[in-house]
Amino acid sequence: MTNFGKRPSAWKQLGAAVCISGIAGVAFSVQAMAQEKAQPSERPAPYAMSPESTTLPEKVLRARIPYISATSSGAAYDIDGKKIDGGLSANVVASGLAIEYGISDKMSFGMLIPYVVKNDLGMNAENFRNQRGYQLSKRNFYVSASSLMMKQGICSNLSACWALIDTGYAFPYDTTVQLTTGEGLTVPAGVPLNQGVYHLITNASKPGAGETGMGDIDLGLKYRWLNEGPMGHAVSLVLHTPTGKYEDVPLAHRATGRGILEVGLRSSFDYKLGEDFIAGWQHTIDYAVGKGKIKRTQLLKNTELDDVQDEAADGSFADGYANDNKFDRPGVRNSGFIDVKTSFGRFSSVLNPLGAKVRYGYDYDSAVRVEEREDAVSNGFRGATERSSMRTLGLGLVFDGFQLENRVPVRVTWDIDSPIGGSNKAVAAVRNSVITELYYKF
Amino acid sequence: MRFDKKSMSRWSAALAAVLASQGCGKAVSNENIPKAADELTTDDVTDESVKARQAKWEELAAALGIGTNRATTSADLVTQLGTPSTYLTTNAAQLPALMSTLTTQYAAKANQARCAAVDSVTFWKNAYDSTGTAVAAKVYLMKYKLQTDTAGTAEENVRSGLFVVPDAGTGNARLIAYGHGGDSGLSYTEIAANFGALQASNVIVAPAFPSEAVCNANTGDNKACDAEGNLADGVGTSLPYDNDADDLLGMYDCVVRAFAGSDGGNYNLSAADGYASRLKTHGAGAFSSRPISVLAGASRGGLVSLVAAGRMGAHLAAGAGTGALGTAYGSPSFFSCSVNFAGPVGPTVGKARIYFELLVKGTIENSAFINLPGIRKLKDLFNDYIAGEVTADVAKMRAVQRDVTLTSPLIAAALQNWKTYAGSTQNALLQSRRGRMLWLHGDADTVVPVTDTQLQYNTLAGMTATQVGYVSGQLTGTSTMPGVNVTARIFSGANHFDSVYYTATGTYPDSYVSSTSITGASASLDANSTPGVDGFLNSTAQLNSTVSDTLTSWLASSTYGCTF
Repeated sequence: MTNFGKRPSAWKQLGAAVCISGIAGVAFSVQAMAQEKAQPSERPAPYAMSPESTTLPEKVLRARIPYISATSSGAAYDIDGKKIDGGLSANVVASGLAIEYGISDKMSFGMLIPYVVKNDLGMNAENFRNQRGYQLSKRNFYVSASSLMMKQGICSNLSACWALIDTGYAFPYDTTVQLTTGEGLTVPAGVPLNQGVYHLITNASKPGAGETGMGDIDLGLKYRWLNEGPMGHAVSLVLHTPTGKYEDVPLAHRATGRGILEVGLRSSFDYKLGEDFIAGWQHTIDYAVGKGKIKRTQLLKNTELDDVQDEAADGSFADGYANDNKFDRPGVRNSGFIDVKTSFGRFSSVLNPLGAKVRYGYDYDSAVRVEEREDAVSNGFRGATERSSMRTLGLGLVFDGFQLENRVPVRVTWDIDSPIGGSNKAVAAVRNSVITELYYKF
Repeated sequence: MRFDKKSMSRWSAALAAVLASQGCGKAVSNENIPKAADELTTDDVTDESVKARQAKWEELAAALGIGTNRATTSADLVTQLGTPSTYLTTNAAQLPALMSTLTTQYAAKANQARCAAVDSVTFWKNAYDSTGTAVAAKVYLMKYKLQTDTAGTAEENVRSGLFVVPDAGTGNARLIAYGHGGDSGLSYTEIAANFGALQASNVIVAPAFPSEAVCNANTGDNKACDAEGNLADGVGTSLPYDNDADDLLGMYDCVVRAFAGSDGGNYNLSAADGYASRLKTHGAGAFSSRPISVLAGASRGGLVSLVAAGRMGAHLAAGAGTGALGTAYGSPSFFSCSVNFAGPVGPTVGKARIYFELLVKGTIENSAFINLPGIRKLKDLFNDYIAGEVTADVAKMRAVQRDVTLTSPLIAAALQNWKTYAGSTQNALLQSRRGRMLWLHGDADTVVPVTDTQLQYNTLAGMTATQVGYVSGQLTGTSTMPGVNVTARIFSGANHFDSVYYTATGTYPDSYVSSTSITGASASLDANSTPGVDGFLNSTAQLNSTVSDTLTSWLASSTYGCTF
């Protein structure tokens, strides 16, 4: 059952603009959030419930305008999955445009152009020490300092040197420690190294103005092959193209893209639970193809890319990494959600346009791996060679203009998703999403 | 209910209000960002425990008159570490008072370095050298007790040590009291390596030191004490270097008594073992029957031997004014010569000051220095200072009595040619009776920097009349002090002398105290300079000589060696 085709003139009307005063998300996942809202196609359901597996009818165009706000006040998850105050507060707004077109009644084509409107991140330095990235950076510095201390005969192995540093060891004279970026940090005599490293890392991680603008453009093709009885299933092929800013963005400014081409295969399954509920499960497997380019950021001035030439005569580098490098994302990214939708029309016909849903979302992201090295690093490159994950629980409301008596071809959905678990996540943001959908039939 | 444009507008407004309640639009900012790392100074240190430990260290450093190990450049630090206590420089006028305090402390425990009884003397094996070649001497295990009070009461502990006696010879064997290196026990292999053929012509006495065992090792390094078990278990509690010196002087005293038959007749070595007249004695003067004795030591034992020498210097200085030797010290030992194999200089100068800082701060446990012999126990000695239970002055004296530079005036007065000592009516300290010292060190030493020997030499050579005022002030009728002849031999390319039996070390490059940066007044001295020392520092002449060769020729030398 569908409402398509009944009020073509209305489909040309633009839906009401949706006012959202704030959004956020973590800068690092801005485009990911936008993509998540750009699921290729959904077919209006009888009672404001749209099954996941539906495709657009032939020659129907849908434009969706996502407006996503992600905010956080320090919530994060450590590598062991423990929720922490990671000292990062985010206020990110993403929008964009998703265009879908029904090639046939079973196949739709879609394109998402995300746009980062606002990309603010604040840091509370004291709490930032809880972050995994801080610990990795601290380890890097300890290795550098320990190497020097061993040469001076102060300590005989890494663990002993680290323990000595932790007790407040200070160099007896102003000593320059070569950082992994090749930069030299002169630690004054008498300043405990464990304090120096705090000043170093928090300043190296201090957020600046985040990049805004276009993110990674997605292209997708969705095919619905099953639509029998209560079940429906569709498969989609999604191409994430690295059109967002990435390579030349210093860490302080945060990128708008992921920097690498990814191919995704998506499964969308739904099952009607009687007339009033629809359960859905969407799962996407993304695989990064080839390698992306990545540049190192200075640690002493994180608004600048690293231009220190620390290449040795034999072509090697202090920490094995050149400033300009390539990276890959080994393994796959698994993301998706399980939801149950219902329509309020079950209570009264006047409520037909309204629906609601509850959703459990998950995202087990792949990690950035520079030069195919497996060691977990945080030495001026984005990413830390360690996977991250996030699980959310959300509620959603939908207003479906098709269910109005005069069938307005607009649908507006509002979702709020809150983190309920994760690991190695620097920012666990609460995400508000409002998506306005407009339809047009040729 | 109808949904028209008007009602949609109302719904939109309501929706926006809901979103706003979710905190949308909240501004974010950076908070508590500390200053940049490259702008930090010591004024920015926030850790209260770090500041408290630094304050304790600075308080003690000030009491000792030494630098606090803070410099802008490596070169500045080298200079600072090479500069001895102000007691030896700008504050020299206070040195006599410091020595007086130390002498009083020594006198109060002098009996603890005296022999109370020889418990047993047991033949262990025939002697050999470092290659296993037999040497005409025998190795004995001696068990003995020291005194606990001025009445000569024997302690409960039965201590152990080795002594080596030549198989033959009449009146030609010096008595060498040897302090072993490391802190893992006494191994005969160390004696065999350092003295070799000299065992056939010298009696060598070596205690195990408190809490340490006599190792049962026949070959290899002294870690074999673990592998092959103990010949004798350790007893007592170690107070690094200080009561090691008690053991060194005490066992020496027991052997002297045994040779003299004055141990009660139980172990009269002269009669029972055919060793009559084996020892070389002064042959003239008030001490004509006493053996010509040498204080010797390797590495940690080298420091112990100099601590013991300081004790003897204190004794002589205390008795010098009245001419009554032994008044404060009971029956003191009398040495004429000293040999130091790569011994450290003590905590107040050189690279050792770096680890002394960590020790006083209570953070040395994780440093490479913790493996240096005696450091673990030495650390415990300063725990009460760290805890604020004793004053910096108390802690200062613990450092002073283990420091070769600060006790230089006493060390320089310790060694005498007793042949010319006429007796109690004669002043104990005469320049004409000055004794002899030999220092041996490798300039590639990775355990004890060669600069420690240079610092010792520079300190002794650089002493002025003011600095030795305490000692010279005890003299009657003269303003000179006896001094000592010093021969320092630096072996080019040689590592730590006891490296074969000490392995638990890190690498100590000379980035702090380089051999070229601390030379000071280390040139040859005039033979009769007054006050001070005579001697020479020679870094090239012995390039092709072994340690044993050098020791042999020095013992035989009547010019600078231990032949009078």
